[in-house]
Amino acid sequence: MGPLNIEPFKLFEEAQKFQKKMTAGMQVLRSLDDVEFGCTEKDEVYREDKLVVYRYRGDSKPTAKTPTLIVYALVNRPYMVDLQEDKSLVRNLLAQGEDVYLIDWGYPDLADRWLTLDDYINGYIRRSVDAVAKNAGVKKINVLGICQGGAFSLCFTAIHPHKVKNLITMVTPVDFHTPDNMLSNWTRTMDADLFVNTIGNVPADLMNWCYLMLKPMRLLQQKYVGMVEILDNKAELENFLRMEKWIFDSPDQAGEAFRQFMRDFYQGNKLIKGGLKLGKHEVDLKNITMPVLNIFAEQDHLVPPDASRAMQGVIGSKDYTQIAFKGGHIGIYVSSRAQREVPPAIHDWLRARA
Amino acid sequence: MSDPLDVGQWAKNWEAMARQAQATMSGNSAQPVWGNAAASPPSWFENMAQANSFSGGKQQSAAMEHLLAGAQGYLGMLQSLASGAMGQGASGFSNPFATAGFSGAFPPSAMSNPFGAAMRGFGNQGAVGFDQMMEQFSAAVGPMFDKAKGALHMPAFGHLREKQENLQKTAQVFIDYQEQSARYDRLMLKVGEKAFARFQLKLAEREEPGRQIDSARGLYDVWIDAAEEAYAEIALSEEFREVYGAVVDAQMRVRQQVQGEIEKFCNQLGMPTRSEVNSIGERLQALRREFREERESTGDHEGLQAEVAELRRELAALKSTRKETVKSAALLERAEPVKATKPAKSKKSAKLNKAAKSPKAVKASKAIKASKAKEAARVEVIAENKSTTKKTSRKKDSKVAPSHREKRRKSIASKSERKSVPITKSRAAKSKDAAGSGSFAASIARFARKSKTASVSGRSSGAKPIARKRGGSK
Repeated sequence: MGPLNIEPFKLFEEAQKFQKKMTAGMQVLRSLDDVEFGCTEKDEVYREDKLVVYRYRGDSKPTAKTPTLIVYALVNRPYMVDLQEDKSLVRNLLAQGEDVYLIDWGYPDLADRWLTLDDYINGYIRRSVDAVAKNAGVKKINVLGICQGGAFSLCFTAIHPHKVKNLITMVTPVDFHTPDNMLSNWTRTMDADLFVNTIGNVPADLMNWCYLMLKPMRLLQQKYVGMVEILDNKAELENFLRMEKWIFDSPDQAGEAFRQFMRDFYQGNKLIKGGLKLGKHEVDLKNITMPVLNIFAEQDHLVPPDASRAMQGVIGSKDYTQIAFKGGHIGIYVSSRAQREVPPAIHDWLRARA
Repeated sequence: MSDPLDVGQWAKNWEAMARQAQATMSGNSAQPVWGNAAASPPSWFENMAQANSFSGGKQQSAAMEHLLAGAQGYLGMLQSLASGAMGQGASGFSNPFATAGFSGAFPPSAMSNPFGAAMRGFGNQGAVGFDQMMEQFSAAVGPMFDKAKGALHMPAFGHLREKQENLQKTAQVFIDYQEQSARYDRLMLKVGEKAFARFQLKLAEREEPGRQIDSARGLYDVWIDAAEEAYAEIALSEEFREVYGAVVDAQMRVRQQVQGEIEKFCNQLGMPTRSEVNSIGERLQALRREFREERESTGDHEGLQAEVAELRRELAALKSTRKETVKSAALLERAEPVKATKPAKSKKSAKLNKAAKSPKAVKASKAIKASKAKEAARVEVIAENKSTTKKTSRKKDSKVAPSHREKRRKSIASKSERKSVPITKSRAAKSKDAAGSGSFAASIARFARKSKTASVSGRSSGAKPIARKRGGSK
């Protein structure tokens, strides 16, 4: 007996179904409005260059006395944390009583070509943290770093520990040389200087292409076969297109910051090995002595779980908690499981350390 | 042996190619900007697309074409399986690999190797036209590669030396890129082979009844799993790391070389270039950084004022605490027999207050308190002993027996000197004063004894009996 047991009748039925979905999909696609994203009201509290810090407005006043600032990655837009009403980390944190702020980095252009990691971390992030603390009338705030923003938050906290009460990191790489880190493998021998000197700011499309090539068959083909199956469902199709919008609505990367991130983090692995210097400041993770919550995704293809797990033991904090989420790099924000599990876990952890 | 290189012709071809590249980059090219990565769709797919009347609007049609391009692997597989079913019937269809062999079981569109397009895609992302530029280069220079290779390392000289050297360098980076690109493509072919091998293994695992694949989609998903696993194995290897780095570096060198040519061209036309903008941008950012640093270090009045205000509050709190301590100490001392130490204490406290907040000062003040407390305790003990013998003898004692008093004070002073130097110094001085006053009192007593009249001391009821008693004891 062979591996296939496909009835001809079923096969034609499958083909017919596919064709019907495509036909119906055309009607749905024509009826769709523009994709909207971001569902929570917010107020601007600080602005500098292209950066804006927002404070989100919940249905009721926050019960938490210490505000939480979300530091997102530079490589994507931060509205992933507030994509839509039923997929919003921000909304759920507000519902728990947290006071949530977020840094929106904007879209860097040629004027930002020479921004360094020192400018981002000891400049933009530091001033954003000060602005949030001032706005909330506190001396220390909670910092929630996501992905690359998590790595930045680690650096910031190590340099300015007196400004951070609690640190939360989500899908954050710490050890960039784990054997399952594909992006790291690809960049290890590249000439970072030649790369940045040649192309300057790194185009978003180039970044997106690299991410797609991490799983080319799934992300360039299989995903769109799956899309046909939901073509006749307006609500699901809207969700799909919203995700597509987020995936490809990426900012360019400021050249100098990218050069340093590639050289010191991906190639040198200095965040964990030591020797990382941002401007005048040495980054020593042992300076992170406040409580730390580290959340990572077990099926993360961008930041392998081991890359995050490495945080344990290299930071100075004795109050370290880690949570392994059953999902992927994106699912940790948008899956229904994430809505149920992640915000309450963060809130409970913070409340115990208020 | 190859013919000698016709440098003139080669340069002409190169210039033509450069013009075409410029046209492409400026958006005038009629060619599509996305290269030729997408394979032509299968006929079944074309028929299906036509049947769906997608020509309702250009945008929708483009969206659907993109969707179908993504799904072409699945569609090809579906088509192939359907063809097999029609031609062979259900029995033969169950194993399409049995007759055609694995590689021939599906059309190329169904199992196209997407990995080969990867680096072409990398080239096109964010730098439109790179792929076309390479094709044009191949067309222009390709036939002369062998000749060009031999001439690339020849020394340049004469008044066109710089131009010739630059041309040689340009040719060299293009050739390097093509070589590295070929290495990458070979590696991607290896991925394709491994993917098929893995697919077969996965199919073999599904031969058991109950685990068989019963839909085209199921089969497609198994193929995707196999392809991804094979790709991941290669993409995580050290060989891939080296090849990938080399091909990206080679591509960057080509871009850099072309950019240099364009900049030269722009300079001749008096146009600003990327390098010039970069220089300005770098200086501007350095200035901004310096300015901000300066402003933050010297001009952050708000922060400084807040800090000073906080320090002042702390100081005021410290002072009030100190005053209370001094008051309580003074009250304590009033109850003590030795009055002479009081002013010294308050003076010292004031000095200590002024001396301020350093931990050393706090330690010193604690030491002072401790020594004072000990001293007070000692004095109390002495006084108690005295009072057991004669309760009212204190003042008389100081008058009648100045030498004892002096000795005692000296002893106290020397004891406290051992404990704390600043205190003992002033205490010793005070003890001397006290001794002085003691001898004056003694002379008065002597005078009183001599006169033997107590009537003069009748004004003070306390002094009389003391003097009488003292005198009596004498």
